[in-house]
Amino acid sequence: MADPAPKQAAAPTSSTNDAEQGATLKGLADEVLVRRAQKGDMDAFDELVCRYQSRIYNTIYNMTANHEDANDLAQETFIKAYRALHSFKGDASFYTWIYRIAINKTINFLKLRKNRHQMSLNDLDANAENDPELVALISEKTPHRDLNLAELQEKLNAAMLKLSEMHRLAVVLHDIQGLPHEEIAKIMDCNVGTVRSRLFYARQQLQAYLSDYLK
Amino acid sequence: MNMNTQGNEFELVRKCLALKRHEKPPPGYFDNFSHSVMARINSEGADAESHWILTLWNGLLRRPILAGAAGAGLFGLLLFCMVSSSGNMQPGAGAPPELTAGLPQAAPNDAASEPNSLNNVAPSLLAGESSTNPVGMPQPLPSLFPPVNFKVQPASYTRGSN
Repeated sequence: MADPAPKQAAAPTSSTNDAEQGATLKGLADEVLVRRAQKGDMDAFDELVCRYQSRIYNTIYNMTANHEDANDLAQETFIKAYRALHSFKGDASFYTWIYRIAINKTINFLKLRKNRHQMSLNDLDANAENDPELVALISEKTPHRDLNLAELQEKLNAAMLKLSEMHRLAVVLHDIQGLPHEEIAKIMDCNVGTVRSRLFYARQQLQAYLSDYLK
Repeated sequence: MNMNTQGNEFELVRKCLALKRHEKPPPGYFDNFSHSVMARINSEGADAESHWILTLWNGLLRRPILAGAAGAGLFGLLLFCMVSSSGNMQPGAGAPPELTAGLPQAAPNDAASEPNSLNNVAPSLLAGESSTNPVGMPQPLPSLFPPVNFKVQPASYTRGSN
């Protein structure tokens, strides 16, 4: 499922008033923060960055399989959003709007990079080793291959990079980020049927790429 | 491959994809992320300002006529500022009446009543500007003190009166 909306601690502030203002901003809806940011309130935009940084970074990271590229693209996404904030009319949610910016930037980047993929994978957190589904997957499906989680991670990312950008995006948004089909359709600017079709084809491709490891 | 098998295989793929949710960036990465973004926004704003000045400067360098016109305009503006500021430095000029009320008025130009003052100088000398006296005699500035008139009487000595 999707990560819950990140509610990370605000940046350390120099005074009590700033801390109070940060706490106040945390309770505000996106629309209010956007309106404030459009009027030049940098603290409001900072709060929007804190709110979506995790999801935007993770989406880009899962598309590029490279931490450094994901870092640059995520920062550029928010900078572009700040520059284009005056043109945001609120027709879509801020969430959908910033996802579109991130995805357009990422796809353009991947097209420029073409097939020169260089993975720079993040470490797995401690929970991965305790995840019963993952433990079962490795012990049951690869009993003779001595495949550990790190190896599976590498194989999985390599398989993901073989998918086309649109098919990879469908998998990332649905199977990793946990977004519903309707939301993905809005972000990808297509209909729900297309999303389902892309998901089906992408899973089929992944299954084929990973067949040696999942028999 | 029937539908059940296919669904089961997709389930395995989805379980496998769950591993991606455990990939995390270095610890503390998101603590500094928003600071980096805001710093880049601020620095790009400053760059945009310096870029504007640089563009203007390069444009002036490429077009000497435009640079000359801009220089002449600036010089004219400077001259205008100097002239207007010197006009404001005249005593009492432009000052509100309440500030100048306590000042004594300039002495009337009556040469007969004040024989020792500068007013008894011949008007031709005051008004006469020449090559040796290009600005003429300055107008007397208003005095803060009333003029003092000494009444001098000649002393007389009579010899042999004792």
